[in-house]
Parts: sequence; structure tokens; C-alpha cells
Amino acid sequence: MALSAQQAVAGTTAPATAPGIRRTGPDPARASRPRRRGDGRAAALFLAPGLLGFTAFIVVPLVGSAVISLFNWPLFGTPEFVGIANYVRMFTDDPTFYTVLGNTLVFAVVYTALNLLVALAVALWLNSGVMASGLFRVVFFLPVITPMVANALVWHLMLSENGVVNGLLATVGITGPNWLSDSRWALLSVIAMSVWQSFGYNVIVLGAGLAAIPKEILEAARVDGAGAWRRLRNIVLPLISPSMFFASIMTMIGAFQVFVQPQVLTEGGPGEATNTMVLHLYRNGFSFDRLGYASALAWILFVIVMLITALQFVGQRRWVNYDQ
Amino acid sequence: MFVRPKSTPVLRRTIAALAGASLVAGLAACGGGSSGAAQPDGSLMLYTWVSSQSDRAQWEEFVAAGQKTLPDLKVQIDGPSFEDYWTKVKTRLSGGDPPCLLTTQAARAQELNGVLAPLDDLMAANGVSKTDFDQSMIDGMTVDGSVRAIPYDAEPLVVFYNVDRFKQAGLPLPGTTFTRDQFIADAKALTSGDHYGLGISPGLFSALGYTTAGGSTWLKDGALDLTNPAFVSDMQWYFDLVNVQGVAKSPEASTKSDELQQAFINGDVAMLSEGPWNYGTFAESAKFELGMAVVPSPSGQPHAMTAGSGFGIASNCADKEGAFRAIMAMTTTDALSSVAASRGIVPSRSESLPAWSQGKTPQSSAVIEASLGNATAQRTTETWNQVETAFTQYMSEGFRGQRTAADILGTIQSSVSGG
Repeated sequence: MALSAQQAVAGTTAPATAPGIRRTGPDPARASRPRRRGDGRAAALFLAPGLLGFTAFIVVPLVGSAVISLFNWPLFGTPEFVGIANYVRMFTDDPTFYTVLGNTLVFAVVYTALNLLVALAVALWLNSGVMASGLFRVVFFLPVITPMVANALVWHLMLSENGVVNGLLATVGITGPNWLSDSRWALLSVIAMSVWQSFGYNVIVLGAGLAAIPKEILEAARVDGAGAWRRLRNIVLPLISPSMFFASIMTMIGAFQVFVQPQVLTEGGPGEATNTMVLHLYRNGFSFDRLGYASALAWILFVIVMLITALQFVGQRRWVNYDQ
Repeated sequence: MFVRPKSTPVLRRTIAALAGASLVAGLAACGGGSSGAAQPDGSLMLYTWVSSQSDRAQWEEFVAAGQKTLPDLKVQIDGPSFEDYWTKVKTRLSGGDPPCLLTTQAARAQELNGVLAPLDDLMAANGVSKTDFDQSMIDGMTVDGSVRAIPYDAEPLVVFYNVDRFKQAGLPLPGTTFTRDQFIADAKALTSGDHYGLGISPGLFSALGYTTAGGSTWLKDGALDLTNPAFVSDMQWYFDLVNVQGVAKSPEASTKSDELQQAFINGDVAMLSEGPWNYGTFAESAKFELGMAVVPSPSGQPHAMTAGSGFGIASNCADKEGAFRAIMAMTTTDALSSVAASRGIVPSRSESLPAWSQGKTPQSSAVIEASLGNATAQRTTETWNQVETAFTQYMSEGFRGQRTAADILGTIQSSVSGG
């Protein structure tokens, strides 16, 4: 068995490196490129630390969670193999699954769109020669580095029934809704808080893209009589499209992993109005003691995020411009 | 043409071996752990919730009280916050050097089925009788027909109230009897502007206190039965306190019970249902005279829901006999009296109850005794955490009248059974 396994491995490698062939006299190709083998070893050595880290922290947990998703796996006790039952239950027997999937999709799309719009508007404004733009950049970035839980608590106070938001609305004669307990407003409130929290990061990314636009091109357009809107649409946006693409990918991936905001602001309620995939997954794993089902949810989320990212990469050919 | 460089067999095999080894190691770490035993110095490990210095002090007092009957008792105390305990206790038992002594609430005992060893044989061998302890708590600690923990407290849910506000409104003071009609009339009289007659905590705990007083239950033969008409009707009555009677504000899912306790202490709400363990905090912080009444029922006679905790033994503990001796020492009448006097827990042995009454009003002692006279523990199911989570998510729709109790409880029942 050992021999056949070795043969199988040897068979999959290039014949030139197989031990048996190496001794059959000089190989003309090898003689003309004597340093090739040494480079491979060195490269492998340089790659090893990264590869080890990638294996230990990405590949092993990934494979581990795929294995766990095939079991009924309690935190304490003996796991029981159930095949694909966890996946079947997700699609046929978990009434919450489709709701949280829908909520997550709505969150991801609306949040990403709003985030990019706000970030683009602010980045354009900061790039227009406004005074103390560096200071503003720092101010807009502050929520990104503030702990999410602290942000959510402040927003919870602002959005509660007698909070600041409804207090302000009352001064103009509007009776505000209960933002966090009304199912029509709760998800929107979570989105608003999330956009406020994170758009500062995209301001930096898009700001860097804007700063890299050669001044001459904008000057030339201005001389040719292009107005502000025309310059934005036909010159600025195409030139920062790689930054926009990067920002949209990263924001979308982050959006699918939304967890802390609904957990702290609404605990997924009212009803299931703000329950998301990761919150549902977390609760199944660590509150309801179903690590197997939680792992299955994680894998489905992983596949969805991968598909959407792949779609974005396919779509980029239509609108992302890499020519400067 | 670009040729993809190929790795050597040796390198491949090394990578495969490393990946395989770490996968096996990772999975093995998640499996069952070795059996627990005493620590090297002969002490036992008590794994419990230690949310604060005050929690630690309470556990240390139990140990100190136990040392009076078992002088060589040595217990090391370790544990996470209360919220994290229920998850971490399971992972802690799976890891190396698992603890022998654990704690549980009666309401979480079902969830820890498998983690807690049955104690019936140890109780029989050591002459410990179920009747030594509050009957409702023994019921609460019974899972699959066997006792899993020896309760140290038996705390009936009660209604705390602001005596000054009642007197100002000219209302008679409730005590060992309280009808629902009287309760609603009082709460209405005490509600005006920003002041509410009643504070409602988020979550199921206090809701179940009111439904228990109403005589209904959420279980049928130990299984979840949220949709039985009596329970639905009691829950609707509870939701209507906000939506129809207007005597309380709807709690939000993320409202913390501390906020409500603070509102009571500040005098913003006149009544609040809570466990008697809050007596000390309320009496110390409130600027008004503190009153206590039984939870209102249709007839006015008390039917209390008890909450409480106890000591159990890990199912993989090697020296269960030694662990049980420690539990016996920490739950003697004297030990419970001592902790009741110093920490304000309502002890699970009725002989220790006088110690709790020290320094408290005669009326509150009478209310506790009347409540314990007809009490049912908050019994749950293994899926209770799901029920609790779902109720917290859905309750505000019930309080606002957007959905009926029947609708909400039906949804929860089906999602817990199905999902």
C-alpha cells in the first residue's frame, strides 16, 4: 500500500522531478537551467511561514467546520454523525432561516449603497479644497476606530422612545416612531447606525483615489468647457472606479457579517425584523448548543459571500477602468 | 508558455501531514475531556458565575460556612460572568483539568442535562432527603426524574412597591394577598405623565411570575406547551397591561433590567416584580419606604414562581463522593442561615428562613412565607434558551398590540419545535 501511495504521488508530479528519471543521464533542459531547482526550494522556504499560518488558521478551521456541519455537535457530549441533515433542516425546517437570509441581503445591499454614496459625497467635498480637510477626515474616521458596542449603546439612547431623535422631531411637531421596537423602522435604524459607523473608512479609500487623479486632466476638461457634473460623471468617477470597486467589495463582505449592531441595538427584534445570518449562527452555536447547525449556516454564508464577490468581479469589467 | 511550478512529493507530504495533524488536534480538543478530580493540593474546584467581586464574596462565604462542619474543606473558585457561564461550563468540562463542583439555576437545569450528574444515590447514601429543602426548588432541579443540584436558595418572585406613592394616592397597601383587579386599579391610580404604576422587565422571567400566579403553565408532561389556552390568556393579560391598561411602558429587547430597577429606585415606576434578592439593594438605595407584596392572582391568593440556584457535580467528576460531602457542608441549616443573614439570599431550607428576616420588615417576611407556601419552580425545557431569545425578540409587538399573545406564542412554539 505504501509503495502504491508513493507511486500515486510520484505519478502526479512532473516526470523530470521523479526520482527514477533523475539518474538517467544528463537532461539537456536541466543542464541549460541549472538554478531552477534551487529557486523552488528557496521560494518554498520563504512561503513556509505564511503557508503554515494560512493552513493553521484558515484551512484547518475551514475543513474543521465543514466536518462539524455534518454532525449534531454539542459543546459538551458526544457528537453524532447526521450527514447533510443540518443543511436539509436549514432549507426545509427552520422557519427563521429565510427571514434572516432576506434581512441580511436587504441589509447588505442598502447598507453598501448608502455607505458608498455618503462616503463618495464626503470624499468629494473634502477633496474640493475645503479648510481643515485633514481634521474632518479624522472626525469622520473616529467612529470606525471606536468600539462598535459603545457606538451601538449611544445610538440606542438616541433612538429609544424618549431619545434625542424623537426629542428633536417633537420640536418641529412630529411624533417620532419607536425606532428600535417598530418592525418597519428597526432594520433601517440598524442600517443608519452601521453606515454612520463605517463610512469614514471608505472616505479614506475614495479620498486616496481622488487625490491620485492627475490635475492636468481635470484642468483640460475645465478648459474644454465641461461643467462640474460632467467632470464628475465622465472623468472623476471612471478614474476612481478601482477604488470604488475595492470599497464596494470590502463593504459588501463586511455587510454580510453584520452582528454587533443588531445584537446590541435590537437583539434581532422586534420579531425577526433585524435578525441576521451571523446573529442566527452565533445563537445556534453558543446559546442553543448546536455547533453542527451553526457550522452549516456558516458554510452557506461563506458560499453566498463567495458567489456575490465573484459576481462583483465579473461585473467589474463593465465599469471599472484601470487605464490612467 | 507559463509553467506552473510543481511542489516536490516531500513538501506535499509534509504539508498534508501538518494539515492532518492539526485538524485531528483541533477536533480532538472539541471532544470529551478527561475526568475531573481534586486539585493537586487536595482542594475542589467550584466552577460558577463570578460576575463581580460580590459574587466571589458570596461563594467564599458558602465555603467558609461549609468549613464549620468540614474543617478540611478547600474549594477553589473560578468562573466567567453569569451570561457566559452557561456556554463556558460546557467547554470547561470538555477541556483538561475539569472542575467537579458546578452551580446551576433551577431554570437552567434542563439545559445542563448531561453536564450535571444525578445525585439521588449520593443523597440516599448520605441521608439527605428531598424534603429537607423547598419542594418547588427540588422539583426545579429534577431533570429526567433525578435531582441534579442541591438548591441553596428558593426565591419567590414578588412585587416590590413604593409605599410613599401608595399612601399619597390613598391606596390600601397590598401584602400577602393581591387580586389582579386591585393590582390594575392601583397601577392606574399610580400612572400619570412620565410616572408609571408598573415597571415591566424585558424577557420571560417576570412574565412567567404573573402567568404562574394566574394558575397556568407552559409545560405539558415536561414538553414545551406555549399554546395552551390558559397560558395564552394569562400572557395576553400581561401584554394588555401596556397596550390596554396603559399602566406600564413597553420594554425594548435591549432594555436591561438594571435600567428598570433604577427607575423604581428613582420613583419613576411605583411597582416592580423582581426576585427578593434585590431587597437589600432597593432598601439601601431607595429614598422611600419599601413595600413587598405577593404577585397578583385572580383570587388574590398567592401562587409564586420560585427561582433559585444550587450546587451540582460535573458528570465527569472522578470523586463524586468527595464533591457531595462538600455540597452537604455548604448547604447545612447553619451554613444557609449564615449566608442568608449576610448576603440576603432566601434560603432553600425553611429552618434557615428566620436568618433572612433579620433586619427586614415583618410584612416582607410574611410575604415570602406566604409565597413559598404555594410555590412552583420555573421549570424549563432543554430548548429554553431559544424560547427566551425568541420571546425577547417578539415581546414588544405583543406589548404594543401589533400581535396577539396567541400569535406570538404560536410562532415561538413552532420555531422552537421546528428549527
